[in-house]
Amino acid sequence: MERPFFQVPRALLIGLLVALILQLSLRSLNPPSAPKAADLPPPPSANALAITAFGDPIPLAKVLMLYLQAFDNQSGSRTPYQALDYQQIETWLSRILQIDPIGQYPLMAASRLYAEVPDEAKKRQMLELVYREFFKDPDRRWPWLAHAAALAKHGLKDLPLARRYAAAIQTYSLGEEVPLWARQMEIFILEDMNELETARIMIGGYIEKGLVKHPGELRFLEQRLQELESRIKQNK
Amino acid sequence: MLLVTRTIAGITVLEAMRSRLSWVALIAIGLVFAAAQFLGQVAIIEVDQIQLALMAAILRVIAAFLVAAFCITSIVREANDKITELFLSQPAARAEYYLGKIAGCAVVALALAGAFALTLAFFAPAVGVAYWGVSLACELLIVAAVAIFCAVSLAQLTSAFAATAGFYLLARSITAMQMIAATPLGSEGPWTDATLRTIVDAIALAMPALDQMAQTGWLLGRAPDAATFAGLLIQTVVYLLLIGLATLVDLYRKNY
Repeated sequence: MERPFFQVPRALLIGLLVALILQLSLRSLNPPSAPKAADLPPPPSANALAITAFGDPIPLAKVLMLYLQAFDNQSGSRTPYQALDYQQIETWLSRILQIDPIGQYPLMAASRLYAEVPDEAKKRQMLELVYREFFKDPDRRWPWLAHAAALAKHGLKDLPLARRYAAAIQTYSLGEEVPLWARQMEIFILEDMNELETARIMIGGYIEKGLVKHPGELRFLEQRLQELESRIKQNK
Repeated sequence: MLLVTRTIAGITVLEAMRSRLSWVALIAIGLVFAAAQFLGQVAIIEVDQIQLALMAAILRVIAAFLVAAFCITSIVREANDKITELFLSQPAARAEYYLGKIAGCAVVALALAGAFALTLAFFAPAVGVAYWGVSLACELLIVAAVAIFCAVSLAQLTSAFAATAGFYLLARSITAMQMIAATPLGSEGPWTDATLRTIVDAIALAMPALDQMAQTGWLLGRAPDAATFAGLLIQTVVYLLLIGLATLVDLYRKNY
């Protein structure tokens, strides 16, 4: 059992209150400064990170990703993404992936954050990073390449690039958990490119090989195939 | 009043000497020096800077650990052996007991800061070492005060040490947390971000600026400006006052 507060000498309580106010005032006078884009240093080497990680690199990778995150700002726009040095960003993301290949955060950041800037060159740089890294684990990294394909198609209006990304998913992401829509992206991009014959062959291949199991999806593809065939006939 | 305070302070310093704290500090200096020499052999350039930076960073953490461990074990041991009750049964105020303990622990903290700074004086310019040493002393004084507060409040070795370690880590990383909270990437909604930011900022207000103290850069020739350094000294005084009074309030509420 403790004694009630009123038994504590009043001078002590008043002193404590004054000290607390002093502390709060002192700290509020010295707020932390937000990092600037130019402040982002190059990442440490993989060896240096291995030493720093003390044999457990994944927590370090997570912390590094949060550290990198501190160099930009989505809503406050103190440091817009495009003000960052993208060469450094790319090196940081690659390095983090190197020490934590299971982590999806770096590719999410590359495809959904750093690639969504109005600067086309920077956008392409991030998409290419996603494309390169995709091949190291296609069954797990396909969502980021699928997003990259969508960005290439709608953001960059570069259909050949979008097709390249979609084709990579179609060819390499063969795991059962990869949804069919992701593997069929190439067909729809081909349609947009007016390469109707190739799209028709691909859909026909899907149906013939029995790759489409769901009756709804099968119906949709058959309908799509019919539409394509009629468009091809019209073009002829 | 001075007599009781001085006696308790003297006993605390004697306890530090008899618990071979100085030997532990010397061994730590030796090991850190050896580790720095080893890494110096590996480095190709900036050998001196690498050695100095590593020594300073490791010694800083070791000093904080030793001070916290000593203060906590001293308070908890006295409480377990009923020595605290014996002190408090004397015709002296509880504040005198606290002042004696904090004075004794402060002597230990200052001695450690002095010894560690002296070690670095062989490798770095005197001005930088002086800034670093004084700043480390400030940091250790705050750690000592917080360790005593935790030991008095929790009265258990493990929980008091865990609380002090948590406090130290939080104080060293709170600015980084504020930066992260201020730059959200998620899309939880503006009010979630604002709430999180407010909570982190509120915690930061209650923490001392340990992350700005004992900077390795000062040893490498980038001395702090007078205003920054004065700010750190003021911060130390204010925080010692705050934690000291909080400990006293807790001490006065305890039934022995």
